[in-house]
Amino acid sequence: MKPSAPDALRILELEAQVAALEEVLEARSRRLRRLQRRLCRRDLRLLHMVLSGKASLDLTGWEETTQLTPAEVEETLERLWATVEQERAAKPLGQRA
Amino acid sequence: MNRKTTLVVLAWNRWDLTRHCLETLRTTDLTGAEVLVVDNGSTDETPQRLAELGWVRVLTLPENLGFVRGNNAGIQAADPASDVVLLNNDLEFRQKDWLQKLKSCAHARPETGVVGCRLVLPDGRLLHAGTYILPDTFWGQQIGSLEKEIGQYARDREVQGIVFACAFIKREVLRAVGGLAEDFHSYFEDTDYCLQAREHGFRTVLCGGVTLVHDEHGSTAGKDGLFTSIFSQSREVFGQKWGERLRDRYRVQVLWQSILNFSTGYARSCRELVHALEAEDVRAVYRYVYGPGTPFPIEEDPETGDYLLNVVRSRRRPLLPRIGVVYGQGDVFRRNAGRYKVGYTMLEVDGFPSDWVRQANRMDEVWVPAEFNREGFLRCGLKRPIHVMPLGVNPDYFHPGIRAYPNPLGEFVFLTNFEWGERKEPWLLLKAFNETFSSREPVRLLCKVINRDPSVRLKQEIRNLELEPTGGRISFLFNLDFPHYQLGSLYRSADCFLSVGRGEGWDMPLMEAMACGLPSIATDWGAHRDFVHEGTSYPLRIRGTIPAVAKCPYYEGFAWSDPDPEHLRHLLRHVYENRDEARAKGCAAAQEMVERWTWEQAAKRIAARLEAITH
Repeated sequence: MKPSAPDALRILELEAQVAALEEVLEARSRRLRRLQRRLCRRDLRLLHMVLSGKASLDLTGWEETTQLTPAEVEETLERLWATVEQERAAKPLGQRA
Repeated sequence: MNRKTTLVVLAWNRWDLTRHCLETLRTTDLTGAEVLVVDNGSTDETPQRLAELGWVRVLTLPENLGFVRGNNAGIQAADPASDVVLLNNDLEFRQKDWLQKLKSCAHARPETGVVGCRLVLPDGRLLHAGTYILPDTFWGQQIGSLEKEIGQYARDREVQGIVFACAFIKREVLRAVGGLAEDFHSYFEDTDYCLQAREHGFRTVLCGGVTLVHDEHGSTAGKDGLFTSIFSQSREVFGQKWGERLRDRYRVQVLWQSILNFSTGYARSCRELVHALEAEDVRAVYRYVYGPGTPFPIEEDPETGDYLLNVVRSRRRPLLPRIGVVYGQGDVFRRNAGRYKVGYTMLEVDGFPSDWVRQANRMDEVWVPAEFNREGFLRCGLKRPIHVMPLGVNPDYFHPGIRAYPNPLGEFVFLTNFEWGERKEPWLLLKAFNETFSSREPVRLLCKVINRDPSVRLKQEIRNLELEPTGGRISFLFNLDFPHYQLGSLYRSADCFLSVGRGEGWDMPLMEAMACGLPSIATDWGAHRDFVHEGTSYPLRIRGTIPAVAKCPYYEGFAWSDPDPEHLRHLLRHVYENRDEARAKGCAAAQEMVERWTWEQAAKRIAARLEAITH
């Protein structure tokens, strides 16, 4: 049985949307395959976390090094607690992080 | 004790110092004391100003007789039934009960004869917590000198000597020994007196509960040439008088082959052991056991940053040392140059590599710090006698009263201190903590972490854990090198210590934290089981043992523990919610550390074994 004119139009619209989505998916798959060739699994997971907003710890100011830095306990803890205080002020206890 | 005390304050010019000294002295509790100021021939305004003071007795000497004879004049003039306290005129008194505490300390035991106190500089740094002098150099050293004041050396303890800037001398000692030896014009007379007192059966004690401020060398300040001249003369006299007797006090000598100047567990514990052995009258001669041709081929810097260790390091090695101890990994036992060879080692897994066992079987005996290590060696084929020689902790730097810098927000802080790697299982701890708590709770995990492996990307590893932002909050202190003596302050700034790795050869950080009175959660496996139990900590269950897979080649073929993450989560929550119970365990831990696990006790065991070998 042939579809009515309005139904036919609707089918065409839906087919066009599917084709567009398939194109987007194909492009995304090509991008992911390129990333997979260049990044290790750990970095892929990290990328996913960042893109999905799940990166948990703020490690941006932390310099990766194997050298030890001389420090004093009192000054170090005072700086740490001051940072903690700022962190808590921004996100008080009782609120979601 | 109702005996009177005569406070002898020696002054020579510098009225500004004397005035400040007396003004602050007067604000303290001087019950039962008379103040006698000895004017040692001052030529400034000192005589006139002293005459105006109605509350002190003044003894005016016609000329400067020097520190020793000046003080002796004061001792002579003191009430013959009184104890005498010698005081410099460059002291400042901020502690009201200083005299009563010194008096209590002096009369607590009949054999206590001379008592000194902690001295700090005007800028707040520690200056003195007792003295020692070595026959190698005859250059007296003040213990703790120039360290940041954090409440170290707070207990009463016997010392070789004290500086006589403040010296409480009991009348019994004055009767037996007399006054200060007039062989000395100034300097060295204090150590001389303490050694003389010891020969008469009296011990010298540092009263950890008293702290005075000392401006140091007030009367010779600014006169470097005068100071050097007087010092050198006195040093020569001292060496002639005491050299042989100080050398004769050593009961045994040992060639100690180890590592001193690196930030490793062996080096840190070696430094403590050498100090403790010297205090136990064991003469250690040191030799660096690593270097080219060993698994750790790096040369060692000869400068240790510690006077005593520098002296020990510079001692000439005998050609054929009677006893040699190699304290280090078992694959350098072969470098033992002693005629009687002792190998002293430890490892964090349930056995020892075949090469270590082979080398150990060429020793005359083997020492290990814990029963866990002893069992491991025997299982792997050790045939030589093996003794358990525990390591220790220094209660002068690790005690519940050490200065703390707690979180002002009042968060409950779990602290851990480790080098990143498979053995420490950091992933377990970070995940367990993050899952146990919510970011809304006032609790934090503070990780003091070291990473020296360039192939490890620490930030990446932490990110890979995918910790929940809504989970327990974690802070890191990364690759910071704190002076070891300040670590007690770090521990005391937290509420609970965590040692939840897969295996320990001993675990000094845990022991130090326990000595500071912290409750702890520690894996119930490995060497630290010798001092971890329910009474003092929270043992963490294990699910069993698993192959020890790690970069360290020594672990191959052996096993270590698999800590139970569920039990860890339970313990974290339990400690957080049962703080009184946790605090009580911490107190019990501190007490047990002092009673059984100090470096002094460790050195006594070693000294006794060395003497047994010798005889």
